[in-house]
Amino acid sequence: MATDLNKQDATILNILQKDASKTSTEIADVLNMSQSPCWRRINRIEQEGIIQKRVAILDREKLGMDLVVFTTVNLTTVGRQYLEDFESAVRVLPEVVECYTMTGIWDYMLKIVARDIRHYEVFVRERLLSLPMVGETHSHIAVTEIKNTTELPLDTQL
Amino acid sequence: MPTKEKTLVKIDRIDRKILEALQTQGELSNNDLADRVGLSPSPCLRRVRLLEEAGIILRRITLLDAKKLGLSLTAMVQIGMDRHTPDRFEAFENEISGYPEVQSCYLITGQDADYLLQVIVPDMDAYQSLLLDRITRIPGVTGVHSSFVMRKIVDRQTLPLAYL
Repeated sequence: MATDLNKQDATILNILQKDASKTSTEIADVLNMSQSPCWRRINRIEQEGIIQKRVAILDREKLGMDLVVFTTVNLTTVGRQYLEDFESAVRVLPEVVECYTMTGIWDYMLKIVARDIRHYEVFVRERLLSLPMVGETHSHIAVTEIKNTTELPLDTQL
Repeated sequence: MPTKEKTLVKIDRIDRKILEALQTQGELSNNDLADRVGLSPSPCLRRVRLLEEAGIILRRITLLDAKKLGLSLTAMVQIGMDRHTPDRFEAFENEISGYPEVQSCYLITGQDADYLLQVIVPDMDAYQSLLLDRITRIPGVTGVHSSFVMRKIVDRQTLPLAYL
C-alpha cells in the first residue's frame, strides 16, 4: 500500500465508494466504533487525497446513449508535439470518456460514448479524423456491457 | 443478463443542467444546486427526486485515488472464447463479474476477441496471478491478449449530456 491504511480504513472506503450518501454515524455503526473517531478517520483519508470527489452516476442507456465504442488510434508521426496536440484535442471532446496510451501496437485507446452508430460515425469523421495527426483508427463496438464499475478492489489490497 | 428496461424520460434543459452539476459534484447541497440551475430550492429538489425515481440518477458514489491506494497497474485484456454458445458466455460473464479487479467487461465486435476487460491491480505479480490462476481457468477462455496502460489522458465518469 502506498498509504498507511488499516482494515477499518478500507471498510470506510468500501462503504463510501459504493454510496457517498452514507453519514459518518452510519459508517461508525458498521465498524462498531463511536461516531467522532470514525469522523476523524474519514477526515484524515480525505486530507490524504485518497477520496477524490463525490459524484452522481447516471444511467447511460436511459439517457439514450446506446453505444460504447473502444477506438484504437495510431498517429501518423510520433513526435512529442504530435502527441501533445492529440492529447489536448481529445481532452475537450466530451464523447471521449477515457483515453490511454498503451503498450502494444496502438498509440492510444479511447472509450467513446455515443447515441447510436450514426452519431458515432459523425463523431469519428468530424472530430477524430479531422485531427491532422491521426492516422489509422479501429473501432470495437461494445455489444453488451457486462460490468462497469467505479469501485476499486480494496479487499485484495489489505 | 437481465436486459435493462428502457423508459423514455423527458429531459429538459434544466434537468440537463442538474445532471451536469451532479455528475461532477455529487455533494452539492440542494440550495447550491438550485442556485446553479436557476430554480428555487423546492422545485429543484422535486426534479432531483424525479430523476432518481426514473433511475436516471443511479447512485452517488465516492471516487478514490487508485495510485494513492497502490493500484498502479491498469490492463486492457482481450479475451477470445473457444465456443460461442450461450452457456459458455453466461458462465464466463457470471464469473468475471464477481472479480473486484475487473473494472469493466464488454462483449465486443471484431475478429480478435470476444471480450474486452479493464482490470486494475497493484503490480505485475498481482496481474499475473489474476490472469493465470483465475481468468485463464474459466472454461472456454482461449486467446488472451493484454496491453498495459502507460498513462491515462482522460478518465472521466461523466456522460456527454450536451447531446440530450
